[in-house]
Amino acid sequence: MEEIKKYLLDYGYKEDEIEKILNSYTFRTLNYGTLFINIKDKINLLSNLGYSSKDIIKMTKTFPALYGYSIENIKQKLEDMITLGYTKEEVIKMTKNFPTLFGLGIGNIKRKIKYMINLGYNEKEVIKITKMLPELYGYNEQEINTKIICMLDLGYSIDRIISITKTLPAFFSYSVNNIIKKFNDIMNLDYNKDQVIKMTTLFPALFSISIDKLKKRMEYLLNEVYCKTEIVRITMQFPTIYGYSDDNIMEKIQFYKLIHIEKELVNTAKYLMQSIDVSYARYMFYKSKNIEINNKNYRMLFIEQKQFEKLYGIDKKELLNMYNYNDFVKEKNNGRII
Amino acid sequence: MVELYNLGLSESDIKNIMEMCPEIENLSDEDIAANIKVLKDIDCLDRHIRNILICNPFYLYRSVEDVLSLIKKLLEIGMTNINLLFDSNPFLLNKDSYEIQYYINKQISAGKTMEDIVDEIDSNPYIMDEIG
Repeated sequence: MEEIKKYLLDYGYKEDEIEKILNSYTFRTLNYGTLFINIKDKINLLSNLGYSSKDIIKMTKTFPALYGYSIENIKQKLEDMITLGYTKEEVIKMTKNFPTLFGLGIGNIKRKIKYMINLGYNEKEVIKITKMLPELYGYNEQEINTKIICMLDLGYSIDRIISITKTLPAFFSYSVNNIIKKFNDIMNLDYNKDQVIKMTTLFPALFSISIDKLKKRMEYLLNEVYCKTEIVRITMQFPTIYGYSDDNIMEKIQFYKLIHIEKELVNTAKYLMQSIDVSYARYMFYKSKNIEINNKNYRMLFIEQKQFEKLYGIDKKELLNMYNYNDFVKEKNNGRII
Repeated sequence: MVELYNLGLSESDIKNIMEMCPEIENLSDEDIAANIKVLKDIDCLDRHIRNILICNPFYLYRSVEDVLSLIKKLLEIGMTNINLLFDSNPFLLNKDSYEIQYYINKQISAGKTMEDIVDEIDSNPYIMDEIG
């Protein structure tokens, strides 16, 4: 037994981790000789498959039973997953995050795929969702049904639920209590139920952003230029404004304030998706043509690229090279005004 | 996490990222660096990458091969400045190339030209996710 412990300590395990593995159900009935061979064989196999020692330690801490599976069993699971549509690298990544996948029968996995298809996903979508959230294979159908029913009760259609979970597979890992809490937290920011449904369908990541961040974003917009009603109007049209980095939003709002069109964006909030690089470059281009952008013609900053090229004969790459936003920022820090 | 600090992300940004996507803790520095490199290779500046990761930390969990396949598809159809496309809609990075093709096929069936489709995506990077 001491030999096994020394081997595992030298490999990188801590003492309490070793105790956990050796005391797990899998090994209680084995003699030490067999146990030692099992562990060494699995470590060699997993290393050859591409797992690092850090991966192997992490996986076996979560799922000590992995050491109890035969080499053939582990190799077969990899092959079965590849047959389903995953690459070897994807299976390795999935099992690093969810080593219990090795313990799930392929029959179970196929049944889960069939269940998801019956809900309304196609096979490719299921493979994609499970790449991002392999734990989905570990959830029973009852758990998934409960979350879907919760969303239906909140007022979402099944189409919207599928759309949300395709964009945000992590949604399936949220508890029903968390889903309801987040929904209510967003409502408490002064939205009604329908508005929350619309915003979260357009931008599912709202379910994953902390309520503190949402409040901070709202506070920033309130302090800068908009009232609550305007913020609700803006975010209903373009909820991604809650997800962008502070820099991204601040740069855009500050720039649009500088050129006095910030209030126009209340009714055309989708323009906020346009990269500041493009907005700045177009503004400077128009300025060079003695076209002043104001609240009457501000939409010119946001016309479709094809139309811009047709009117002015300059493509995006050329425009961005001519009027580089980074250079403006550097000069602004040195006192340049637009 | 070293790679995230190197990008200039603050403690608070990284905390938000980890809250949104706890699985990132399971990623190695090499995994994270590989996904960041893909963005740098398409001329994303650090501020673009920060925005992408803060908005869509799930991107870090994507396989590099899938992302490269997506980028190849977007370039094939004629998209340019895709760094800015992803800066506008960071969640576009989570799409697979077959989803882009599916969207294109649907639009072409509706009578649009490829030029129109590319222009629409360029002007509204969220268009593929808009449902009735």
